[in-house]
Formats: sequence, C-alpha cells, structure tokens
Amino acid sequence: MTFRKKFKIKTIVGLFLLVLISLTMTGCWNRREMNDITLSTAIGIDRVVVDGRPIFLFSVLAARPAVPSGGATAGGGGGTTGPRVAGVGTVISTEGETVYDAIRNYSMRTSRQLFLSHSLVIVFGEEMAKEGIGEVLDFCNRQKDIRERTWVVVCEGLARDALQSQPEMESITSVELNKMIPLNQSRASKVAIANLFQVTRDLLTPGKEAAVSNIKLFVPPETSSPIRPTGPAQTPGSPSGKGGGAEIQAQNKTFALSGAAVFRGDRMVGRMDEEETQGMLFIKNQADGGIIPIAFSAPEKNASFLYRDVKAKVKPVINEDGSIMFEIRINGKVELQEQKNAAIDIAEEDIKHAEELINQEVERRCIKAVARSKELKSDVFGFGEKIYRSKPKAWEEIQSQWGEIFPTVIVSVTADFKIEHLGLINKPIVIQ
Amino acid sequence: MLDKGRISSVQLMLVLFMVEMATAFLLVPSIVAQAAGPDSWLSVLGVATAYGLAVALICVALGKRFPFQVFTEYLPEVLGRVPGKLLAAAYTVVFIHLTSVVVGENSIFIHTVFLRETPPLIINLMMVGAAVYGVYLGVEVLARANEMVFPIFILSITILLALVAREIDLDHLRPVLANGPLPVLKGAMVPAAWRGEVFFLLLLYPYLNQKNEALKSAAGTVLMSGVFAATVTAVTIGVFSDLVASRQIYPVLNLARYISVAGILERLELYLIIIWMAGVIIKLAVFYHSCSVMAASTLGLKDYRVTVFPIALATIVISGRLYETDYLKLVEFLSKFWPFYGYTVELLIPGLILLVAVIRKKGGNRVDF
Amino acid sequence: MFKLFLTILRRINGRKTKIKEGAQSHWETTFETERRPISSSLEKNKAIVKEIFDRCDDLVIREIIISRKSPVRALVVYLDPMVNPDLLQHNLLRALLNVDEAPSNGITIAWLKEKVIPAGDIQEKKRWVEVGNGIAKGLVGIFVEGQGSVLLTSIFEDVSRSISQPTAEPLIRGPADAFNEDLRTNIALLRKRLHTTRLAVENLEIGELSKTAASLVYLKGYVTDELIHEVKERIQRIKIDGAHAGGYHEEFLQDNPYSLFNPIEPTERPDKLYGHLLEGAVGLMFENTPFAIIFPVTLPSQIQSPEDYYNHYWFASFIRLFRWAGFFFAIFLPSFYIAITTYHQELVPTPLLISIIASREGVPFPGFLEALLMELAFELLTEAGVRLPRAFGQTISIVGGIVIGQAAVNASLVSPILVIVVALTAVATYTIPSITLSNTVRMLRFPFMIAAAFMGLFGVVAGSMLLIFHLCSLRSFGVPYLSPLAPLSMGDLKDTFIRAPAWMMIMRPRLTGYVEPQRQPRGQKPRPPAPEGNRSLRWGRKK
Repeated sequence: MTFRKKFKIKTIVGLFLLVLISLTMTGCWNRREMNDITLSTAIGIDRVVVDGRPIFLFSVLAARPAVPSGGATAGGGGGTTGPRVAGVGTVISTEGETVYDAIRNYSMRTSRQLFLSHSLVIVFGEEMAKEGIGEVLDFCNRQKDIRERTWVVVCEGLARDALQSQPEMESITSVELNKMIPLNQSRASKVAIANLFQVTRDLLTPGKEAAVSNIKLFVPPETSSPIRPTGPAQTPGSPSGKGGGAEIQAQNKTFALSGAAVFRGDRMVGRMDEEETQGMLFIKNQADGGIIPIAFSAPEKNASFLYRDVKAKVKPVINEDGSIMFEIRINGKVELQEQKNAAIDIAEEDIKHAEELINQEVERRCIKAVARSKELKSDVFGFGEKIYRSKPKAWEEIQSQWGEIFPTVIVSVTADFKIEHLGLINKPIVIQ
Repeated sequence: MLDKGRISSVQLMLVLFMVEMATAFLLVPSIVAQAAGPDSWLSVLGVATAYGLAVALICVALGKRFPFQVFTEYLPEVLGRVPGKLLAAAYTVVFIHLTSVVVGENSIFIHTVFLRETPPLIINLMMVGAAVYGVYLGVEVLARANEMVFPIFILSITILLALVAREIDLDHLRPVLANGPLPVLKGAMVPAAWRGEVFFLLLLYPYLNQKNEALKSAAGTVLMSGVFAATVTAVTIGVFSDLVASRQIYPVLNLARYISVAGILERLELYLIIIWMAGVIIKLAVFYHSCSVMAASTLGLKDYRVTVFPIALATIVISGRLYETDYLKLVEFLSKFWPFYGYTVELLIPGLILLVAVIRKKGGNRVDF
Repeated sequence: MFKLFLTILRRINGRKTKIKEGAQSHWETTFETERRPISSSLEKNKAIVKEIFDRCDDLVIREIIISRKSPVRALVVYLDPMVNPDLLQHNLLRALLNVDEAPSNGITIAWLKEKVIPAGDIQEKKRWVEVGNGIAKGLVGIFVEGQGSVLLTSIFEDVSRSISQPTAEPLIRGPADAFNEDLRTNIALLRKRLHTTRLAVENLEIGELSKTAASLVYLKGYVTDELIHEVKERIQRIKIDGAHAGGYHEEFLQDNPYSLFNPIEPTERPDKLYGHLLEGAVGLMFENTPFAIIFPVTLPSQIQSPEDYYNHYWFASFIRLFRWAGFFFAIFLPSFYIAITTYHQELVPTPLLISIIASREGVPFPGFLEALLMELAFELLTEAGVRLPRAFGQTISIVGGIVIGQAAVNASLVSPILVIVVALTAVATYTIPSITLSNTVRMLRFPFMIAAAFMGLFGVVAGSMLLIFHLCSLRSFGVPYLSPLAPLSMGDLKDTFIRAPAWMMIMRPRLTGYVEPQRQPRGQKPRPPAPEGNRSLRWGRKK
C-alpha cells in the first residue's frame, strides 16, 4: 500500500518534470547570439521634416566588429591569429513616426537586432531639443534597455552628424564622449553634466530645470590631425577648419564639449557659455575641480588658481513682503598654479588680496550664471526645490507661479576661498 | 501534524523574514512612495512594524494554545466541526489565491524585465517546479535551504545599497512630515499587509522545536524586516527622490542598474535576479507547503504531499487567468484590495479565533508570554 | 529580543554546547579500570585487558605456559598490526616457551626480564595506564600468573618499507605515506598515529564468496553507539558475492542512493582519516583496497584539505577561500558564460562585451554548442589522460593544448574567450581536494549549461535552487550534508570558509563531534610566560 502510494507520487512528480523539461526544450525564446546583435554605443535623436511631415530620425553609433584578418595567417606562417579588435563605429539612421517605430525600422536596414543596452550617450539634435525631449525621455525610462547612467547631451545641428564626428583618442566617438564628460567635471568643470536619471528627475522635480552638456562640431585646426581630410581638395596651409567647412564631409569633423544646454520644461531654451556653466556648477555643488584665473594688480589675467573641495550652501529666505532671496555661500580651497612677473609673493597681504580676487571672480561667474538663467527663465539651480524641501508650506503657495517669480528673486553670492598652498616653489621666479 | 520536520527558532525567524521580504523589497518602495512621498521610510519602519507586531502576538498566542496543530487543524475544535471546516476550507482557498498572486508577481517581473519573449507560463512552471521540489522534501529542508539563501539575500542587497550609497542626496528625504502624519499612515497600508505575512507562524508553529522562543522569532522577524525594508526604501528615495521612484515600478532594480563604481562595478542587476529568484522560490515553497498542509488537514488526508501537485497547477492557472503579464491588474490588487484582504486574513480572523478560543476555553490555557 | 541576540552571539563564540563546571577532557579522565593496580591474578588481568581494548579486534592475547619444570601460565598481549610476527615467534615466544630452568622462588617478572627475553628495550610496568598505552603504541605485554607487574618489550613491525606515496591526493607539507592494499598495514599506519586504547578496530567480512576482510575504525567515546550500530547493520545487510575494491560497497551504504552527491569520502591518506576520526567520524577499510572510506562527511569538509592544517592559518584560509571559489567556478562558470553571452549581454561591461563580440565574430556555432563541444573535448582529454600509459602523457597534452585549443581558435571554430572559460573551469575542478566531489562537480556542470542555454540566468538560478534543496535534504549517516551551513552552526564556521588558528579550535564540529564536544582547553593562545603563579590551563567556561 505504502509502496504504491509512494510510487504514485513519484510518477506524478516525474511526469511533471517531464512536461516541464519538454516545454522548456522548445524554448530559447530570448536567445540572441553575439553574432546577431548590433551593439549600439550611442543614440542620436533628431526631429526632421520629410515631405512636410515631422518625423523622428533615430541614429545609432554601432560598434562594428572587425572581420578577422585572413591575411595574417597566410603571411605570417606562424599559428597566431591577427589581433581581432572591434572596428570603428558605423552610424546607421532610420526614420519613424515615433522613436520606437524608428528603432524597429532597423530591421529594414540591417541584418542584426539592435541592442541598446550599451548605449553610453544619448545625443539630442538641436531641433529635437528645442521641440521638447519629454517623449524621448519617457521612452528611455519606460523600456529596460537604455540605462539610467547614459549621458544626455545636446549638439549643435543634427545628432546624426555628431555621431559621425571622429574621436581623437578612442576608437569610437561614444567612448570618447563617455570619458570626456566626467573628466571635464574633475579637471575643468566647465560643462554641465547630466545623465538620463538626473535629467528625468530635474524635469519631474518642481522648481528645478535641467541643464545638460552641449557639444559642438568642428574641423580640427591642427593640420597634422588624422581626422583632418588630406588630399587634393585641401590645401595644407588652410587657416582655419571652420572656414573651409563647406566642402568637408561631416565625418571629418571632430567634437568638443562646450558649456551647457538649458531647458525649460522639456524644451531647450538656450545655452550657457563656459563661464556661466562653471558658475552654475559652483552653485549646484558639481564643480569638482578647475581653474580660476585672476588679474593680480595687472590689467590682464596673470595668475591662475586650482580650486578643490568646493561646497556651496543655498539658503532660501522669504521676506515679510513676500520677496524671495537666496543666500549662497561657497567655500573652497585653492592652490596657486601659475603666475606672471612675481606678482604674488607669499606675503600675508598678497595672499589676502589674491583670495579676495578669487572670491570676486567666483562671485562674478555665479552671478553671471544666475543672470543668464533668469534671462532664460529656467531655474537650473533648483532654487524652487530648495524652497520646497525646506519650506514646504511656503512652496505650496508659490509653486504655480514659480516660473514668473524666479526671474525676480534676489540672489546673493558670497564666496570664501582659502589659498591652501603655492606649489613646489615658495619664491616666485623673477625674471632679471 | 502532517510534516514530521523540526525547525529551530532562528530558522523560523529567517523563514518568516523571507516570506515577508522576498517580494516586498522590490515592490514596496514604489507603492509606498506614491502615497507617503519622502516619508516612505517612516511608514515602513513605524506603522507597518507596529501592525506586524500585533499580528505576531496574536499568532503566537494561538500557537501556544495549540502547540502541536496547524491553524486549520484546530479550527473545528474552536468553532465546532462544520463552521471550523468551512473556515479552514476558506483559508485554504485564500492561501491558494495568495500563492497565485506571488506567482503572478514573479512572472510579471521576470517577463517584463529579463525574459521579454519567454511565455510567462514557462517562467511560472520553472519557478513553481523548483518550489514544489522543496515542498516534497519537507519543512525541515525548506528551513535549511533558506539558511543558505538568506545570507546571499542579505549580503547582495547590502552590497547593492552600499555601492549606491554615495549617490544618496539627503535633500530627497526632506521635507519630513510636510503634510502631517496622514500620508505616512496611508503609505503604510500596503507594506503593513506584507509585514502581516508573519501570520505564516500559524502554519509553522507546530514544527518549532523551542516553542517558548516563538515570540522572539516572530518579533525578531518583524523588527528585522522593518529595518531592512526601511533601509531599502530610504536608500531608494534618497537616490531617486520620491518623484522618480514612485513612477518606477521596480525602483530597486533601477537602483541596481544605477550603480557605477570606478567604471568597473556596473550593471549589477544580476544580483537582483539571483536574490529575487532565490527569495521567491523559498517564499513560494513556504506558501505551497502551507497550502498543501491546510488542504490535507481540511480534507483529512494522511499525507500532505498528495495535495501539492494539484495546488501548484491551480495556482499557475489562476495566476495565468488573473494576472498573466498584466501589471496593471496586479498593482490594482496590491494597492487597493490587498491591504484590506490582508488585514482580514492576517489579523482580524485569527484575532477572533483567539477570542473564541479564550472564551470557550479551548486549547492550552496559557496566553502569557 | 536581547536574549535572542545573546544566543546568536554565543553561537558565534562556539559556546553553545554547555560544559559542566569542572568537567575534564577525556585524556585527563582515565577509565576506572585503568586506575587500578595490576592484579596478580592472570584471569583478572585478562579480563581487564579485554575491557581496556574493548572492540579492538586486532588485539591478540596469547596464552602460554612458561617453564617445563614449574609451569606458570602467562599472557603475551599485543596489537597484531604493530608487531613483527617473525620476530615475535622466533625470538620472544620461542624464548618464553623454551624456558627449562626456573629459579627457586618461582618465575618472576624480574627473572624473565634478566634471563629470558632476548630484547633490547624492555620495561617493567605496574599501572594499567602505562600498560594500556604501551600496548596501544605497539609494545608487547607479557603478563605472568601471580605477578603484579607487566613486561613491555618492543618488536615493532617496520611498516614504512612497504608504504608508497599518495598519488591521488598529493600534498606539499603533509606526510607522504598512503594506504596500500594490505589491511594489516593500513591499520598499523593508523595505530602509529593514534597511540590510544580508544582506537577501536572492529573486523567485519563482506562478500559471500570473496570474504573480504574489512575493518571499522573509530575512537571509542567519540562516536555514538547508535551510529556504530547503524553502520554495522548496514554493512551486514550487504549480500554480494564478491566485494570489488573501493566504491562498490559505498553504494550500499549511502543514505540517498540516487543522489549525484556521495556523502562518503574515500581517502588514501592516513592523516586525513585520522583527522576525521578525531572529529567523531568513522572509517572503514577493506582488504585489497588502498582507500579507506570516511563517513559521515559534509560538503564543507570535502572542500577542506589536510594541508589546511599543516600550513599557517592565514595562508590556509586564503587558499581555502580560493578552493570554495573554485568549487563554484567549476559548477557555474560555463553556464554563466553561456547565459551572459546569449541572454544577458546587458550585464557585461561595454569594453568586455566589445572584445567578446570581436572574438565571437566568425564562429559558426551558437554559444551553447560551442561551450558544450569544448567541455566535452576537455572531459575526453581528461579521461584519455587517466587511461593512457604514462609514456603517452606528453602526447595528450600536446594534442589537447595545441591541436584542440590553438587550432580550433585559429580555425574560428571556437572563440578564444571560451577557451579561457573552459580552461579556468578545468583548473577550478581540480582544486577540489575530494575525488568524489570533484567528479560530481564535473557532471553537474552539464545540466547547468543546458539550463543556461534554455533560460539564461533564470535557468541557472532555478537549477541552483533545486541543487540547494537537494543538498539540504541529503544526510550522511544522520548528519546533514551541508552541516555547518545548513543547519547553521556559527561556531563551526571558523573551520569552513576559513581556518581559524589551531588554538581557537576549542570545539569539535557540533554535529559529528557532539559526544565529546571539547577538543582542547581554552586559553592556549601563545603569550609570554606568566610571571608567576597559575600557569595551568583552564577547562570549561571562563568565570
């Protein structure tokens, strides 16, 4: 009796497993071999008008794997294969009514499934950015492939052209861009930095607008640059790359980061130059390191300081009369990096004076940034959010009119930088 | 007792923790953030824990009265034969439904996030198959397997949270209690129902080998999962802010994706698949074990294993019919019905049963702790 | 709550098992009988010897009569494997039996010692402790009727000549002796390590036709009688015509006969058996088999190597962690590779993915087939390497390394990264010290690869959960196979993933060694000598 019972259970379990295995055996639904995917390393999204109809132009910078070089084995005679490195990127673009439509239209263009998960950068073309990126952000957050850390940048002109620009160090533009953005933050802090999540959050947060990196394209002015087209069309001594741009193909340009693209809502409303961007980064606590040049008792800039450990505190103050004020205090440390003509000695008063000049310069940049953002009516600093976080009750009253209130707020910036040390020499090099 | 297994108090604590947290850690932060905003962690830590403790107290009190029987076995004794059997049957059905919800949660997560083209049925068959194998081996093996899974679960989550901690912006956790305590209470509704799953104690109490440590285990579970869930929620909201987190379905998944340490430690959602699956399989196994023991005791069978297979099939079918891959339906259930459903099943009915047992002087006479 | 944490803390400290105040370790307690003086009655002495060497089937008690003129009864007592039979018969017994004369006051021990026994090393002992330990050490004891003392003389068997080096489990710092086909020698090897009367050697017989001799060895008082009883019962239940060497009997003894895992550990190293005996395990040795089998064993103990205890604990812990990593690599690496490269490309860091894609370019097979082919080729190579005569060993490594590895890559049949994965898996497999476990792992790899091929990581994790359930259900003679891990006993974790310093190993493993929980006294951490006063070691709990 017990034997039969046990036997029954075992049979049932066995049958169950059998069904399970046979069901799974027919599977492999999600399988995609490495040879069957197009590895997208950067995405470019443009809005273009074709036949009078606005459509999305979706471009992908794909890492094209190099075919193993057959010549190496034949010529070498040894058993070694040639190095099989990934080839340079290929830009493929498709059109569609919506973004995802354009993505799926890839199957009409290429043999391999598009794989977006390794996209390092999303580049928005200028038109696209001005028209509003909300839909694209929704798409990027909604589907699982594009990751939150993907950099968001805006370029001048078409995003497709930006993807086709040539990198100067790395093999693919996207990898170069991916490294450049954080590098700039720690070395110069002159470019806005934002990834997909941060842009999404800034758009969602009341009282905060997004600012993302901006890139520009140009023909490298250096004549020895490998990117620069050589050949009969190009005269060797042509003065500037930008001048002869007309007949130069798009892929012979390279790119550089330049300032910030500022949004109001999901639309780009303008750009900030480097100084303004740096001021913004100071206030947003994102300036990790960079240089402040000052003019120390001279008409032109003659000394530069490297700043570190910058901390900014933004304190919203709501006055009795309802006017809103922001007190910004910026603390930091600086190091003397260079100077001209022994202007700064290590004397106490000189250092005091230099610190004062640095503070003035920092304050000037911050004020410039604030002025620019007021001009654009875009609260990129998140001043409104500061009110919301610290005075939720007050925020509720002004939230709806924040767009109008922001240009009228008073911002005071107080910088307090301390010179920490003067480098490896203590006496200036005096030219006799 | 239908299962001869014996589990220790620590094992019980870990099993109950897994039952509470295996699915909650992924689903709760988003649901709470929708109601409680930046104060979500308060809901999870405070209110839900208090509710969980109440459930734990009642369950232990009931367990002490009937130390060698599972819930459905002593129901007829307390309520009389017919009503008792009816309630036992109802509970079995409720448990089967709850199990189907877990099955649905799992297939939706795996289907929408990892295996887009795989039919959910196959995903369910695999998971349920693994869980059923565990059930066949008995509660003792489940408890031991959980002892293997628990450290992996905790370690992985801790590592994930630690790696993403530098992205936390404390501003996201402010303002505290901006709209008074009401949103916090509202936010606690859903997580409380989850934390009330400590009521599986009713089904696991007889296997405990140190009966006097039951309350310690149950309370330990509730407190531990309170701290755990609150940490997860706080970190999620600290990184993503409640605005983004409440819009994401699985913010913890996004959290794992957001990790980047020195450009090397990236793309760690792998951990999340592992802990999710391991946790859900354990959770499902405990659910199936309880379901089948309840069904067997209600029907008066000698071997609970007979009922495992039909119950497993039933849950797959039910979850397929009810939820399939329809997240909206599931989230509607989870955020609207599940709290009240949960409160009734977890707190109200066991509380009433305890009351009746005390009045009718059934079971052991001690209610002290 | 607080108490709960206290409990957990206590577990971490390994003090869960209560030790009675003033309780003493086994080597300080002597048997009641051993404290008594040696009786002058031969019968009484014989009974006591039998009691001391209870369950030692290799003990020989030879009754003889000395002297023809005034016959005196005497006993020659020794442990057979330790004593050279030739010397015993030709020298000692002949000398004793051929005593013609006798002193006027009768035959005394002193007289025998001076006049009769032709041995260099000879001692007269009056206490049972010394006699017992002497005999356990391999000395021959001579009891004489009416005498209250015993002569101990040494006629050691020189076993070292016939001992070879371990071939299956070689070590660097460990002793280089291995069991061989002779059961008597094997027991001698063990007795040489454990000079205690507690080492029980019980003789059994397996095989209706072959009548293969087998010996069950364990330490009396370290193992429960139930376990011994159960083992003996299981062995006696075996009804086969001939007992082949080694693994054949194991299959009759397993708790879970269908499991891939074998919770019975064969070893050719006497030191390994010795280590397990001290932790409360039981060994079984067979005639004609150069392997002893040990049980109960746990999976964590199969990942320990005797060398861990010969090396410094930092290094041993370091290596042991690697071995654990090797264990997981050996099971999961190929399946992980398949899952990642065919299902979850988004989990690979971008630069790595680009190089994997580049290396896969032009490979005609799907990833799973490619990996499967390489793994199968590797298993074939391994098998060929075992079968081939040693002279061909070079050929196999050349064929395997160059032809299969290099040429397959050059011909774009497999990707170079896969070759690395397969090689790493192979290396990882052989870091597992236990032969049975490493064989199991070799087989387990394939189901996981299939699971990965069909469902990606999802399949792998589901498979791992099945594996965990299965492992948790396994028992080795009543001891859970995953024992310090599940059920968790915190105190034993000090010798699981890492190895704690020797002076910290206060307790035996909780589940195998619970009969005699304490291994050594506390407070043996090396320290400068105490300036004065109490230097004695404390037993039991610190006050």
